[in-house]
Amino acid sequence: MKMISALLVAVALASPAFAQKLTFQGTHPRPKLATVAPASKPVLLHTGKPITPDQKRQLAMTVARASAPKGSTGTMQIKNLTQSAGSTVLTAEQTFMNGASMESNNPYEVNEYVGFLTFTPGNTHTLTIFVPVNQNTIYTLAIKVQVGPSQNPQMTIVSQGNSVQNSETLSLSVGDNEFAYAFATNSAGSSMVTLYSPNSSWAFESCEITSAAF
Amino acid sequence: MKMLTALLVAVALLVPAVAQKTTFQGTHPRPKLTIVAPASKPMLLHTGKPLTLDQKRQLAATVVKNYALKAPAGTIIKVTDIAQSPKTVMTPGQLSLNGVNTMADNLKTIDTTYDGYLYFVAGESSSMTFIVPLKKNTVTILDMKVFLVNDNAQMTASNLWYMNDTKVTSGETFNGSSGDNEFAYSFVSDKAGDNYFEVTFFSPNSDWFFKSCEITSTAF
Repeated sequence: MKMISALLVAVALASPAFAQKLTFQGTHPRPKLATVAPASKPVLLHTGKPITPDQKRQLAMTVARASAPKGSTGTMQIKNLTQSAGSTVLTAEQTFMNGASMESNNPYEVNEYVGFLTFTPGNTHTLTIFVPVNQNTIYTLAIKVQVGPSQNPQMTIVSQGNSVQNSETLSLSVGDNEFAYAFATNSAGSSMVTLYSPNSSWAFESCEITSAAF
Repeated sequence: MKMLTALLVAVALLVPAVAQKTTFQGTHPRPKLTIVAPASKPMLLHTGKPLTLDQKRQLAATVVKNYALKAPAGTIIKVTDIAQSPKTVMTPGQLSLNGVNTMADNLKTIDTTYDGYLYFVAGESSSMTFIVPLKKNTVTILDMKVFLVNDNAQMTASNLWYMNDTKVTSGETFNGSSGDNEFAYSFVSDKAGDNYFEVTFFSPNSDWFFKSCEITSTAF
């Protein structure tokens, strides 16, 4: 009986201590959106040169075709990407815009004076871009990065959601690089695209997000 | 002779490798800043509680008084009420504002998605730096809000400047408590033009989160 009493006292004493466990809250807690996986395999475009608006349109069209419901006989119209309701541009200084946002894990350095966000090589040094998405819409992310000296520098792009993960790696060149990553969604929520370099230091410069409904 | 040739070859091979050292330019490269010393020793205030406006007023007055001891005889000093001065509020989602810039090194996480925080680990190398443009005869207060993870956590404010290209630092450390902490760091400037004040914050013994920094500059 004594042991039970001692146990109850111990539990009573311990409970408030547990209840007081510190939980950190950020500066602007917001409700989390449902994570949405791409409706089909995303498509990556890297030409070694800046991506033109025409190439972005073609990329979106390719993704839309791949995302069309199987057996559908109806037509699909993709609005002009340049006419979609404004574009969102995330940079090292503007990491939150129009609902799109970024999370960096183990970044090496942030410098707001000259505007860079740098990472060392490895899949634990990542930048994740969160894109708010709608139903039947194609999203194109035009990403600009700067790559440090290394042999055959590479960048891996991972999109994930609902336990689905698409991973693709491209070879970049030392210096400035631009590539586009497009995917379609068939429900509303938030899609995540993660970037890292397996073998080179790199700096994030910008990510322009455009959308087109179909 | 053979050794000399080998040495020259080694140097020739090494030079391009050194030249290729990673230097990222950033999206808007700018000239190097001129970081100067404060006009008098900065002061740090941490009471263990949220700071009141009166405490900030007193802090500003004390820092100005310390400066006045060094000021030329006959100098008249009257501090404008800090409550009436415009404020620049830096947050994890807004790290460059009104000429104030930040730098951060070796972070664990930058999250501007749902919560909004910068997560630093314990140690001097994981740090956050503020670069504040200076105006002549002003007192500036940085009102910092951070979240400290460990009990007995400490926080250090380290002021840095250059004297004849030599780096000079002056640090101050306080004992915080786990959870939310607020502290203020104040300094006086007697310089204007393209001169900047630089202060770096880090915790020597605890992981910590940056939440916000409200910067107020008041003329005197």
